Amino acid sequence: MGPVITAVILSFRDEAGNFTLANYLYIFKDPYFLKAVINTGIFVAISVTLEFVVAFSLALLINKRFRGAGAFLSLALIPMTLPPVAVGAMWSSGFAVHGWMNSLLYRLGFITEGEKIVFLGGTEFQSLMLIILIDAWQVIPFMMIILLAGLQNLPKESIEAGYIFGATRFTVLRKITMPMMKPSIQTALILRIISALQVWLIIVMIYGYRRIPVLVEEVVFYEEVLLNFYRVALAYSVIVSVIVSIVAVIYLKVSGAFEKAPE
Amino acid sequence: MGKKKLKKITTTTLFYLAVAFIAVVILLPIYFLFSISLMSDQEAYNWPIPMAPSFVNKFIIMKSTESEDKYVLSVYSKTRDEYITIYESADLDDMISFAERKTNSRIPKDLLLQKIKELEDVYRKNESEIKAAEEELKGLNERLRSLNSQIRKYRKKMEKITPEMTELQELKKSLEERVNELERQKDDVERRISELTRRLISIGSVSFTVPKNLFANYITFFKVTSDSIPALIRSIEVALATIGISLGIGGPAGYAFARYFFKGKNLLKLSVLFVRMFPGVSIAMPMVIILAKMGFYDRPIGLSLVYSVGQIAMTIWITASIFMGIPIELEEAAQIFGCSKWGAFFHVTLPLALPGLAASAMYAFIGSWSETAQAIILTQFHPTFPVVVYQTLVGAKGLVNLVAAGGVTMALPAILFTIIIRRYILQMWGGITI
Repeated sequence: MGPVITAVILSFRDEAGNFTLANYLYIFKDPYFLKAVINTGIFVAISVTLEFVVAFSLALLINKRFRGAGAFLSLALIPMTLPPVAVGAMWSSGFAVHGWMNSLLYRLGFITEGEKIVFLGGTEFQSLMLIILIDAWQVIPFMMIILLAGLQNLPKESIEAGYIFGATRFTVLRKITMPMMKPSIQTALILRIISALQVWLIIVMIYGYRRIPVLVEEVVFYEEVLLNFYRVALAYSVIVSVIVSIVAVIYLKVSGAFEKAPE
Repeated sequence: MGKKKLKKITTTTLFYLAVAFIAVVILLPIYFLFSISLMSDQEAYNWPIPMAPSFVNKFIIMKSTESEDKYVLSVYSKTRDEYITIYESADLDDMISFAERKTNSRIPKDLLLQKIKELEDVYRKNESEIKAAEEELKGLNERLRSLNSQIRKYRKKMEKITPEMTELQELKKSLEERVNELERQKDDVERRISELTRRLISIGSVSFTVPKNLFANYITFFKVTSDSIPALIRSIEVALATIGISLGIGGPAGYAFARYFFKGKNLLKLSVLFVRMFPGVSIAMPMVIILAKMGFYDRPIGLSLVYSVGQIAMTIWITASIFMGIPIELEEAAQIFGCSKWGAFFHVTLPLALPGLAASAMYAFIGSWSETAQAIILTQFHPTFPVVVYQTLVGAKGLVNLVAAGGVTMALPAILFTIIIRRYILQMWGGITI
């Protein structure tokens, strides 16, 4: 807790060590702040939804014992544990106009010489979508593993009972599988929301600073790129921590995890 | 009966197709990263990028048309199916070093001298033919230039005529026809040029293949980014120190959690969550001041202290579950047979827990090895390896294959350890057994 308290105290001080709100006011006046909040919001909303839906469908799809399951699961672990810089190198070489993505599409006959896709040249929203896709590549396999574990731990009897009483597949999924899997879903979602709120490195590696401002990226921007903005950066990081904690607490409260901690 | 069987086969096939599809989506980017990291500049900056790196380079050497003592070195490009000229010089050493930079193949000088001798023989034999072809080629190139400039001129004129100028539309049409005619001629000339070039290659060149140094990019990466070898060493130091600190504190704590009070498991899970709630960067920034006060700023030990904060909760969680899996009765039995309490721990529990502890060490290693965000903030003149790769990536967008080499160097240990401890990671996230 030490560092956090230091950060809070320092963020309220000016150069001379007197109490001030200037650091915070500076941030709230910064036009990039609002942009960053909105972008982060969009990122969290879309990426978490997309990743959860896809990961859950995949988990349902491969929820059976099959030959090669072990190898497949090990494979699914790899994207999550890849170092961020490796992921950055991978996709920045992929999305370049002459990169491997266009080369592959060209070879497979999807595009012709003149139709090379300029992946990185879109609007801010399109760029954000691209980042969401990259992020999804990394996160979905891992989320799938957590959900798959939840699925495999379910007692088969209750699901069979559902079918016996004439429920359709969808009803069984909605009324029996989902509620019983609540702990795994909760773990997967809360971890995901928290890390989605903190996305920045991949954005900077592919687009550079301030192309798509998000909260943590702004913190690092003030800390690393601009000089003499250390206190602003600290104040910014306090704001981000508060936002993350609020979202996490709200989520835990709404999903009722406080009464019964996960698992 | 047959129908049912057919349905089963269809669903199984579809199922495996889906699994294969996911596997391909996961593997494809990793494959390309690896493959690009093995490519020479000449391959990596080609369009389209080859689907796999080559292992040898096929060169041809010709005599220059400009001057008698100069030679032209070209290399075969698989994707374009033609020879690309890379260097024209009389100085063979220059040629060798340039070719090496461009294609990652070091041509032995003896070989080059021998080939040049052969080239002279070939030249003497086919001299008249070569001269004729070169002469024609010269003319064709001139013709191409003039065609291009004519086309440009007509295009400019056409642009000036807007649809509003009704009386000039007739003229525009005739201009258009003229341009089309010129384009056709240009195509013919170009075709003839490529034909002639190929002919020249067959009668006036000597070819040879030289194996490619596949790991040249890795070597260059460490040479170009002067900081990377010390950074690599620092990264390993940081990782080892992180393992030491987090296991040194987390291990005993995990043992205590497992043996003495059992209720803590939920608390632990929450604390893992709690640590994750604060963005790594937010913790790193005030740590700059704290570490500077301790004299640990910009040093591996400082970094590993910060990393350990994030790792300890996780280590306690993992080690606790490992020790819980070892029945306390074993320890008690050892004590009955005359072991001391410590003896029982060291002779019975520890050997049993060792594989699990190794796994948790590797987990800490992966975390510390890959960590980039905090390292960017917590280092200044002594960066860790991921920071060096990050700086190359952000700073030099052009060096695709070098950055790929750095990325692969980063990824390899992470992938390796992940595969070794996959069982533990999978178990940790809900007990999948494989």
